Amino acid sequence: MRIVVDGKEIEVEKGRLVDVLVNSGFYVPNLCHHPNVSPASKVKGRDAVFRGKEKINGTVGDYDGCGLCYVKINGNLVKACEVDVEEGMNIITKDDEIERIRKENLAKILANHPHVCITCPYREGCDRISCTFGYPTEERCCDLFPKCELRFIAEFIGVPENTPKYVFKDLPVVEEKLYRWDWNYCINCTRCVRGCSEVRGAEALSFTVVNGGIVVGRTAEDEIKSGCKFCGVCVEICPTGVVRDKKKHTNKWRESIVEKVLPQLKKVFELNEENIKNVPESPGVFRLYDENMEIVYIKGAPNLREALSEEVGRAKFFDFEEHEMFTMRESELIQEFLQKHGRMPRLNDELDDLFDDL
Amino acid sequence: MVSVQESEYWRWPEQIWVDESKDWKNAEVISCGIDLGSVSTQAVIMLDGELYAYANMRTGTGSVASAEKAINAVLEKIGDMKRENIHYTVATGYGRVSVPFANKSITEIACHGRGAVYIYGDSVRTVLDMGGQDLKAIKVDSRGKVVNFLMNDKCAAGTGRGIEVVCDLLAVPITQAGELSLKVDEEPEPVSTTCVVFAKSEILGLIRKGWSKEKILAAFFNAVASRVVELLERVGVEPDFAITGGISKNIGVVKRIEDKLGLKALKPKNGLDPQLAGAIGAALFARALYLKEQKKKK
Repeated sequence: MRIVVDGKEIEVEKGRLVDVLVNSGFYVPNLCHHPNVSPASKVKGRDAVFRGKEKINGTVGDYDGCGLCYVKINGNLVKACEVDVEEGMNIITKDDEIERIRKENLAKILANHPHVCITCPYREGCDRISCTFGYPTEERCCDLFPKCELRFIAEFIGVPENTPKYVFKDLPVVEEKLYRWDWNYCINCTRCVRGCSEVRGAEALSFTVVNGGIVVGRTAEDEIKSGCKFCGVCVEICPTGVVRDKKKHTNKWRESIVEKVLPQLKKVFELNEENIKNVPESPGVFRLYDENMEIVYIKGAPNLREALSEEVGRAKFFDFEEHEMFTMRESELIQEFLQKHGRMPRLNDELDDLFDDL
Repeated sequence: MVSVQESEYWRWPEQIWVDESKDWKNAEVISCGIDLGSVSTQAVIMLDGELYAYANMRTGTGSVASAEKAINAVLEKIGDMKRENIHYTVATGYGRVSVPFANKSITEIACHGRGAVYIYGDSVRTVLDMGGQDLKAIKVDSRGKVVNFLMNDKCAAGTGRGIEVVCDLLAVPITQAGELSLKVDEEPEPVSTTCVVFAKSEILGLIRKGWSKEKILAAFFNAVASRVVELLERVGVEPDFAITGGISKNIGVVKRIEDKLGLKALKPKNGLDPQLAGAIGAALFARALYLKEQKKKK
């Protein structure tokens, strides 16, 4: 079917609007949405949940969602995660009103999640163990930072200036046999709740309404009593670092969880001689992307334009940044990639055959 | 009155070495690796993949000059070898693009992994590189190929430069600091920060309190080890474990890391200097690249 997005007519397959837009290259920020599960607002909570031994009493209710994926369809504000795409839709993914709403809702989420690292100028190339600015450990982001979904979305939307300071609440850190839950990182998006019931058919996680907000937790005081089936879908689907494996295990449920598309934080250009002419002849780092927008090469160079002109034909797109300490910057970006993907970028691995003579 | 510091305690000795038992003229491939780091520069010459000669020098103010100095020093030591005799040169380290005579530059992450396997054998899986201005935890497979990597280059805490500063402050020659720090009856509490700037003032406070040099060094190295072990735990330590870089020669730091990890670090094979890991890795890549080029020509 054909739809119009930001003035461009495109051909799309049916599906949930947010997924259709993101997969067509029109990124719409979305957090509580996950392609494997139904929209957040479709799920009812319980009158109490547990975080370890602590019982949290509330009321049965529902959760409205993160409110980041708003778009305009034929002029009306709609959450893109709640509707399916329809023939002839005229969609706007970004205007002043949409951006204002996204920022407002993002500020509310960040107020309850550590975020100093997201705004830190040294955020890349840092292991978050010692902090140059002296922020206490509990206010810093966790070690999943290089692939943290919340961080990518916050950087895409821009951290609102009126974001309240995060105050550490010393929430429970629960050691289970297979998983470790650090509830301080929870943004109550309910993705784990929906993953648990819809992907695995268990009811080990739920949420309850407290003071108008919601609190996610287990449905009983330990994993056995809550009916946990130890599939690990919650680990896979969590957008932050709340629930972590103590020992990595895998199974078909876990493997069924698709990797979410994260926003492109830098402008990407097609790799051709015309575009390279506009690149400055200064030191910096460039990255090459294939047709699926996957990073295939990361390289620092003393002269960006010169170095890029030797790369024509090796990839489809590129981006670059100027940086005096480009070899260091190259290592930082490679580190980020390795942590995200568990391997080197494809073309950085071209040295593979150099190990053969051992 | 102007006081002149008589000794620079941070100065670690430069080394130049050649294996006199080998004759380079018999070698098929002469490869060279240059590791131009922030604090030290190494030039290594390998004959058919075996270490033949090296120079380990302090990095000066100019990158190009530092690379030239190291390669000239090693060639001079060998005597009759000239630059033209080297078939292929690979540069690595932060200054890797400032080596004009290199045929190619390769990231130090890859070179350290490869070099560590040469120095420590193919059982090594976790390499901790304690460099001049950064820390890197590298996981490798049996060929020395990088499978994971975590670093900190934003903070000099626990790096070579940090230790140099402390040695200067205490007037302890850097080569003796490790041994000295073990001469304490009881391990003191670690200093509260490994931040080079803050540790400096904290240490001055301890000197005023009358702490001995040994005790202060112990407290500082204890803190350095804790910080490093945290980094290692992030990446996950898989045995065997090895340390490369200049600090691997500091027994005071190494022993404390081992104690905290509950794991012994490997000893280098044949007494090889672990500070050479990056340059050795580069020279091994240089050899492979040369052989690849020759194959293409045929």
